[in-house]
Amino acid sequence: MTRYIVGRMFWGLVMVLGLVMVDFVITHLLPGDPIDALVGNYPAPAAYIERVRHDFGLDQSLPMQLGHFLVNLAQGNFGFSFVNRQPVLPLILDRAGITLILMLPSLILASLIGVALAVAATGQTGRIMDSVLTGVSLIGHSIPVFWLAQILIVVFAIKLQWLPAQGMRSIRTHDPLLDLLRHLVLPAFCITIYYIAVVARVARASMLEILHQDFILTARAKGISRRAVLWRHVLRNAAIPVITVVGYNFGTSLTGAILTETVFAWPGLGGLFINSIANRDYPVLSGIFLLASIAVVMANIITDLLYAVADPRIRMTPARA
Amino acid sequence: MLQLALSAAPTALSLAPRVACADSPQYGGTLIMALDTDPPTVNPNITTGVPDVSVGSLVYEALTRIDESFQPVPSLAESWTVSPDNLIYTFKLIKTNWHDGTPFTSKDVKFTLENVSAKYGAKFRAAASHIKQITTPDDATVVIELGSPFGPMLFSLSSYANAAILPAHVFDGTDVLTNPATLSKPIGTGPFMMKEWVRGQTITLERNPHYWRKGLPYLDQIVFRMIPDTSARVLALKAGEIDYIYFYYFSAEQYSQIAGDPKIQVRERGTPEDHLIIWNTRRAPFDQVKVRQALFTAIDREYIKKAVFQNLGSVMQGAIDSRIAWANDPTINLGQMYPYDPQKATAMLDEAGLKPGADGKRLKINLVYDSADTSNERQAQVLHSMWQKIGVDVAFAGLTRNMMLPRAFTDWDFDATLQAYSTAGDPALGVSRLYITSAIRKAPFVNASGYSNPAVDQLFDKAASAALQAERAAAYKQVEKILATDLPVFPVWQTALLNVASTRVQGKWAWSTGYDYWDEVWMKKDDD
Repeated sequence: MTRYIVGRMFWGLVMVLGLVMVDFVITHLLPGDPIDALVGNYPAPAAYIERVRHDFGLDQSLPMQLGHFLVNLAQGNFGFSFVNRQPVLPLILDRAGITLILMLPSLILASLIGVALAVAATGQTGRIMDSVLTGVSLIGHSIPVFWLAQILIVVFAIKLQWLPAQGMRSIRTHDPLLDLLRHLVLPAFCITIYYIAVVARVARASMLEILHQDFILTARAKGISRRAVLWRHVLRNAAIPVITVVGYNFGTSLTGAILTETVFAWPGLGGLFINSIANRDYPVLSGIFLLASIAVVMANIITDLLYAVADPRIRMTPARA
Repeated sequence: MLQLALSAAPTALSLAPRVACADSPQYGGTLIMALDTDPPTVNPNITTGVPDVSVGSLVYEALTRIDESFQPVPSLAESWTVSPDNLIYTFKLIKTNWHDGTPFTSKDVKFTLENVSAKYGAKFRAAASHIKQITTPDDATVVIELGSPFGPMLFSLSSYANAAILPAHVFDGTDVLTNPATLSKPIGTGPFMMKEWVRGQTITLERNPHYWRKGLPYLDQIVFRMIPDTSARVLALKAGEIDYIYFYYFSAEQYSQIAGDPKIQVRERGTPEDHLIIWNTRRAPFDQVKVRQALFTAIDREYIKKAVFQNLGSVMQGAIDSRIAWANDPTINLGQMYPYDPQKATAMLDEAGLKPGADGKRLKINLVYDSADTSNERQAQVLHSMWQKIGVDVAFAGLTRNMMLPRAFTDWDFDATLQAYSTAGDPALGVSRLYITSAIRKAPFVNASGYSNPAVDQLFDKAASAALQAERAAAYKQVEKILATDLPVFPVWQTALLNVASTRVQGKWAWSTGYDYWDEVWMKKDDD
C-alpha cells in the first residue's frame, strides 16, 4: 500500500509540473501583457513602462522566463504579483483558504443531502421522492448560478434585509463568527444547490443498479427490513460512483466558485483568478494553476484509497494470476 | 424615465424624489465606498488607475485642488502670484506636518514634482515639459519657473494630475516604485490616514486628528470595499452595505435600478469624458473628408443616446466637451451641420465614387472596440443598422482590453474604433492628444487616427501656451471649427458621469473630479 501511495504521488508530481509548464506557456502566448492593465486610460511615460517591464522580467525571452520560474519554484519562491505587488504564495494561500471556507461546508452538506435524497428516492415513498429528486436535480443543474445569486440578493438582502448582500465580513460587528455565518448563507446556498443535483443523480442511478441485484432479493427474503437493506447493503455497494463524483468535486473546489464569488464579492481564489487573467498577472496565474493541479491530484489519490475502504475487494496492488 | 437636464458647467443634481437636504454638518461616522479591486499602489502620482488615486488622494494632497466649476483653488498652497509674462509662479505654502509628525516644507514640493510627478506622472507630463526649474527660497515658498507659458499649469498641480505632494524624507534616496509608502503604507498631509488593509476585502482610512483645516474632516473613517462585479456594487448600495459608488464604477444601464429609490441620490459630476468613433485616416477611403462626412450624416446620434445610453447624458456637438464651457463654442453644432439624412449620405458616397457593388455594398468597416464596456456592443449594432441603410457593412471586432489595445493603438489595424477619452479637465491635457501630429505614437489613448493638420497643431499649441483663458478659448473655438469639417473623430456622446450615494451622505461628495473635498463630507445619522 505504501509503495502504491508513493508511486501515485511521484507521478502526480510529474503531471503537476507538466501542467504548470504548459499553462505557463499558454498564458504567456496570450496577446496583451500586464503593463496595459497597470497603466490606466491615459498614455503613461515610456520610461515608466520600460522600467516596470524590466522589473517583472517581461523583456526576457519566453524560455528564459520559464527557466527562471522553474528555478524559483524549486526554491519555494512562487514569484511576485504584478498587480497586487506582493509575493504570490501567501496571496494565493490566503485566498484559497477563504474559498475553502465557502466550498468545504457547501460540498459536505451537498454530498450528505444528495445521498440522503437518493436513498429516500430509492426507498418506500419511491415515486414521490423520485419526482422531487429529479426536479431538484434539474433545477439545481440548470439554473445559471449568477442569476440565482442576484435573485437571492434582491430577495433576502434588499427586500427582506435578513442577510448581507456581499462580502465576507461586515465593517462593524460584535460577533465575528455569527457575522461570517450570515455572510456564508447565500453564496453557500448557490453552491450547495448545484452539487446536491450532481451527487443525487449519480447516487440514485448507482443505487437503482444495485437494488436489482440478486443478493438484495436474498437479503429481503431473509427478512431484513427495507430500510436496513437500503442503508447497509445497497448504499455501501453503490458507494464507488458516489465517491468518484464527490472526490472530483472536492478536487476542483478551489476554482469551482468563480461566478458565485464574483457576484457575492466573496474574496476568494475565484475572484483573484478572474482578475489575474484580465490583467495577465502571470505569476499569480501560475501559482493558482499549481495549487489547483495539486488539489486535483491529491483528491484523485485519496479517492482511489477510499475505494479500497469502501470495497475491500479492491486491492491496490496488481492482481496475481 | 427621469431625464437629466445638463447645463454647460457641471452642477449638482439630486434626482431622487426625496432630495437630501443640507443640514448642518455632523461629526463622526464611517463612509463606505466601492472599488472593483485592490489598488496595485496607493501612490496617486505614478499611475492614473482609479483605485490608486481614489485612496491616495485622501491621504495625500497637492498644491491646488479642483473646485466644482473645475477651477484650481488653494490647497497646500495657500496663495500664489503669477508674473506678468506668465512664466514665474510663486506659491506660499501652509504650515502643517506629515502624518508622522515631520514638518511639511517646500523641499517636499520640489522633490515630488521633479523626481516623481515629472518622471512617472502621465497627467503631469505636459506641465513638466514646460518647467525650467523649481526653487525653494525658504521652507514656505516654492517658485516654479516655466520655459514657456502653460495655460493649465495650476490645474496640473492637483492630485488629479499626478501632482500630490509626497514626503521627501520618506522617498528621497529610495526607489519610488517599490518604496513601502507607495505599495501600502502612505504618509501624507491629508485629512485621512491609512489604518488597515485587508487584501481583497477592505481598505480602512481613519481621520487625521492634526489635519490643518481646522474642524475637518467630519468623518471618523472612510472604508473602501472591493466589489468586482458592477451589479453587485449596485445591489450592495441598495442594501445599505455601501454608501457611495464613483461614476467610474457605475454604468448608465444601471440607472433604472436606482432611479426613484428614495434612499439613493445621484450627483452628475466629474472630469468630462466622451464616447467617440475614431477613424483610421491612414486607410482609404477613410482618408477622404467627404466619406467621413457622409458616414456621419448617416448616423442618428440622438437615437444612439436613447437606445444605447438610456437617454442619459447628452449628444456631443463639437470636438470639445460642452461641460468645459469656457473652451467650447456653442454655435458649432454638429447635429445642425450634418442633420441625420441617410439619403443625403448615400448621395455623398456616390459623389465620392463609392458606388454599391453587385451585392449592394459600397464599403465594409472593420469596427474595433473594448467588449468589457457593454455599451460598445450595443452601439456597434446600432451603427451597423444605420450604416447598412446606406450600403455600408460593419465587421464587429469586440475584443478584450488586452487585445483591443494593440489592434487600435499599436498595430493600427482598424477602420474605426469606439473609444471613451477623458478630457482630463482641460483640452490641453485630454483633447489635444486626439488630434495633434506629435501625439501620433504607438501608445494607447493618443492620436490613433493618424490625423495631421498643421493648422490644428498650431491652434492647440497656441491654446496650451497662452495663459489668459480668453486667448486659449479663442484658439479652441477656432480649432473646433476645423475639426467639425474634417471629422477625423466623430464626437458621439458626452458620458453621463453618475455618482450615486446613499441619502445619508451629505456635503461635498463627488464635488468635482471625485478625488477632492472628502474632508467636507459628513454622514447623516440613521433616522430612528
